[in-house]
Amino acid sequence: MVVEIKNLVKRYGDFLAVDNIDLSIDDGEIFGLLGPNGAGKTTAINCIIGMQKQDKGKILLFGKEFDGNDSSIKRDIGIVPQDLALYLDLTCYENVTFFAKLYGLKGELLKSRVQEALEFTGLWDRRKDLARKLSGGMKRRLNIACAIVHQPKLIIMDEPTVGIDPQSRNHILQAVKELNKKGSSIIYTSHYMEEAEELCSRIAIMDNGKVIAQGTKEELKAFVTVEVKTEFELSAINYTLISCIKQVYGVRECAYQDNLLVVVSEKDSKNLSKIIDCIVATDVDIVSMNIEKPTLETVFLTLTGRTLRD
Amino acid sequence: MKVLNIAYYTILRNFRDYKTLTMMLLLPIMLILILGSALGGIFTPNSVSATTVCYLNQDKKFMSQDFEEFLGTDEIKELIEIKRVDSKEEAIQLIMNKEAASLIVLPSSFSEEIQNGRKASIEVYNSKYSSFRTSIVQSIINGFVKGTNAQLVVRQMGSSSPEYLRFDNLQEISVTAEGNTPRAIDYYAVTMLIMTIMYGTAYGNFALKEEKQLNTSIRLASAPIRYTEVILGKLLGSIVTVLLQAILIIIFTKIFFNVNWGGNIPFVIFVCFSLTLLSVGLGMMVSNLGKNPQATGALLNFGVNIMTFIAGGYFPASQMGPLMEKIGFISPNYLAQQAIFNTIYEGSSVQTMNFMLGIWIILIISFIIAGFTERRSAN
Repeated sequence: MVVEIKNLVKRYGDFLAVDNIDLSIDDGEIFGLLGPNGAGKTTAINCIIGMQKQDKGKILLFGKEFDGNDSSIKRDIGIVPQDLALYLDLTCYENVTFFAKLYGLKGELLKSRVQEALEFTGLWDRRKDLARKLSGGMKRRLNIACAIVHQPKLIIMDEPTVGIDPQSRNHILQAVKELNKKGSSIIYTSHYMEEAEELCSRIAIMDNGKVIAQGTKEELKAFVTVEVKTEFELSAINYTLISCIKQVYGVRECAYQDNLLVVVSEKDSKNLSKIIDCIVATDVDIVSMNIEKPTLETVFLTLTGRTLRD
Repeated sequence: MKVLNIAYYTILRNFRDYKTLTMMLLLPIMLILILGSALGGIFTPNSVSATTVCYLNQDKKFMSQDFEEFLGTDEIKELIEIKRVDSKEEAIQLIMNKEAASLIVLPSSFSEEIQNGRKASIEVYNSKYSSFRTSIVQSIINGFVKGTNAQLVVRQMGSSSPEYLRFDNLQEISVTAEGNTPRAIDYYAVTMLIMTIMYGTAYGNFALKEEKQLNTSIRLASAPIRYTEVILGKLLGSIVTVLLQAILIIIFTKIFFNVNWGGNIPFVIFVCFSLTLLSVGLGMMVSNLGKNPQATGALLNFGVNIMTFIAGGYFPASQMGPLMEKIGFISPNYLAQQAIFNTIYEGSSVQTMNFMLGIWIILIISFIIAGFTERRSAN
């Protein structure tokens, strides 16, 4: 296990930022930490990297208890902070070199690692440019290059795609997958559910300082799904068809408007073929069909009563 | 190595900060040139005219004749012009009207007291407006008193009346603007250099706060490096930056303004180094005591200007009255300026050491408070 957090509590005065959370992240996985702004994700991460001292609880990194000082543990962590952490008056090459040296890299190894990090993030051609001259997306990529130059076993990415263009976002998401393929475990925080859906094998959802659910995407979706909504566009709709569908096992609701039919069934009722049989029996053609699947957004909405970006 | 890495990149970034660099290099050079040219007159030595002194002789016996003889010598006449008065009131009126600087009174019992071997005194009343001229009068009277005392001692030892021979055994060295006296530009080169070094408080102020503003403190905190190494690296970078700037000013003013930096440049640089430590430490201390680096920066900026002013950085303190001369001592600028002037113009080495001691005491106190407060803020 790469990270194990037990009963973590962090307060700021009377405000309870992290409320007794338990998390575990396996070696080689991309773990998503989701939640709206102010949910406690960044505070939890600051505690994990030792930037802030927790009030209660235990943090184990690579099997060892971590209090923020152990250099051998720090050497294996790379952090991509939510806000850019760069020296704007240094070039891309100098920024990455500076942070690489803090991890003890020197000589030829230093040069090759810096080149590797810049090439990986697509910034090698811009290595001589001052960081201040880069676009927002490039700065985000440089932010990543500084965090991965020492090839850490655990990379913590705190909302790395906030406020950037779609092209840079795709670049970063691809980079996360690549890093994971190379063997790094990743903690990825975001309030973009679609990013987590695409990247993460397991997810924890935080709200008001608490972990309100965690598991694989499928587990989370299954946990909240109570009904399945299916939409049909038909050549025609008639009373016989509606009455047939309403008699199918598990159907809770059947509504229509013009040629659009919406059927809501209970979870796991497995009645789709029966519904199609009704349509075929009434001699109506199916123009299109769509089964609405639950998303992580639905999961969050179900758990908290609001959307993630509210 | 990690400390040197942080120091190196701190220096690199400081020298790429062209706005601050302009203020640290161009501004003092411009001020040296402007003040050195505009206020040159203050530094041109003038000849001193004879000081008018009122004289009231209430004794009129043999000792008063000796005294008047003494006052009548050519050397004394060059320095003071005697105006005989009949009463103290008349003299005081002249002094109040600034027509005379002092009043010398020989009391009626003066000769008698000396004859009987008792203590006698010459009364001197000085104007409070002309300290320089009254000090001349005071010195002349002291000279007479010492001579008279010596004569009496010799007599009491049984010798006959001693005779005086005049020896011209002092070699007179002319002090001219071309010689060992600072020109305005020499003076302002030193004071503006000191001001520039004191502006180094800005580097101390921002050294660590800047990391928080740039968010790089997260990376530094998560890297395998101790917090003390980060502080040392930032301090070292700031100190080298300010010292390099000081050396650049010295070289530039030497080459282009022919400023006299004396024969002991290493010691001048040591003074700069000591003051650099002080300014960076002071900046860090103030930064830790406040929360907002912009506010503490403005405060330090204001403080440096005040310190420069009271140390006579913009206008010599000696020209601003005795009060300014006295309060100048509380400014670190004053200590450093005096240490450098003493070195350049070969003044008292004991005084120089005292000034250096003052600087080091302040810098040690600054660092102790900075260290204590930094630890508190880090926690």
